[in-house]
Amino acid sequence: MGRVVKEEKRGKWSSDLVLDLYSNLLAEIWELVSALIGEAILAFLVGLAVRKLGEKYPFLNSLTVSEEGISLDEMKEDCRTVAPVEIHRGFQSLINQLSHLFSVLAEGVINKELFPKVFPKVKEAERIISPK
Amino acid sequence: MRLIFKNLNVLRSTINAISTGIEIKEIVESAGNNLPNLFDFSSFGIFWKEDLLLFLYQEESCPPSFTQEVVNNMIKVFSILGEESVDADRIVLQIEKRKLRPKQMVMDPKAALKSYLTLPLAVEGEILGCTALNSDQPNAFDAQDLQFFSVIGYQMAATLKHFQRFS
Repeated sequence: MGRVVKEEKRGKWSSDLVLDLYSNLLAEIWELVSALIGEAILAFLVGLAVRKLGEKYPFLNSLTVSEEGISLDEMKEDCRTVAPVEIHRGFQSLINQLSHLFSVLAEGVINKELFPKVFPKVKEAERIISPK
Repeated sequence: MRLIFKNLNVLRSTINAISTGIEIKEIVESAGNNLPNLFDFSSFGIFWKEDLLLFLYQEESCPPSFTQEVVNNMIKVFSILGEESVDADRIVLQIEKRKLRPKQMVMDPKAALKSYLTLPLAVEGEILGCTALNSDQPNAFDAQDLQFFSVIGYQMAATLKHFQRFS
């Protein structure tokens, strides 16, 4: 936590810290949404979202997803040369894409559960990583 | 709490009925006969990619325009999930009409699709089709409906996969 605060004060985030932030956010999304639609369908949707964005944000292709959840372990090595702000944009796009897929499936039912719990944290991440 | 137990028992019966189906029509009918005990819906459907078959089990007063909206929506959702476009003209549509509502609640001839839950029928990462609950009422489904419907969807996908392997 101390490291996080120091990095924040300098306004400069390392790739690892951004990955940790989004790893926690994706874990929260996984926990909430898998309770609604099950792990297999959610794993399918995450895979679909990654395929849609993989060309624009190649580092997302090393995200691994299974019925156990989402892992960013393999991504850490690949992200050493990627700018933290680019990682942030990639994950924001991934979360937006997931939210779009949830709407396609169930209109507002999933996002209604997700928005109050997870999206304030996405906004907070945006505020921390891209200070104005 | 009593309601949850009652619903869980209906869910168990529904899953059991689906798992004993040996063809898609039977699976849809088994599910359709049980689903009105769990959800308020106007139409329930399964799209089976392999045969381009869309089977609808719906309220008998469903107007044709509503049915068409349901078909279009299911194909649209499947195209997004399956990452492939589906030619609507090639789809074989089968409709089973049942009395799902009391006489005084028959559907308006101009009824439109206002709510739906659509889930992919996915097994081992492969998408076999999709299933949907549809309603002419706004906000007809909530998070608990989605939980229950996803359990039913998993059983339908597993039974259909089994059917595909051995047919």
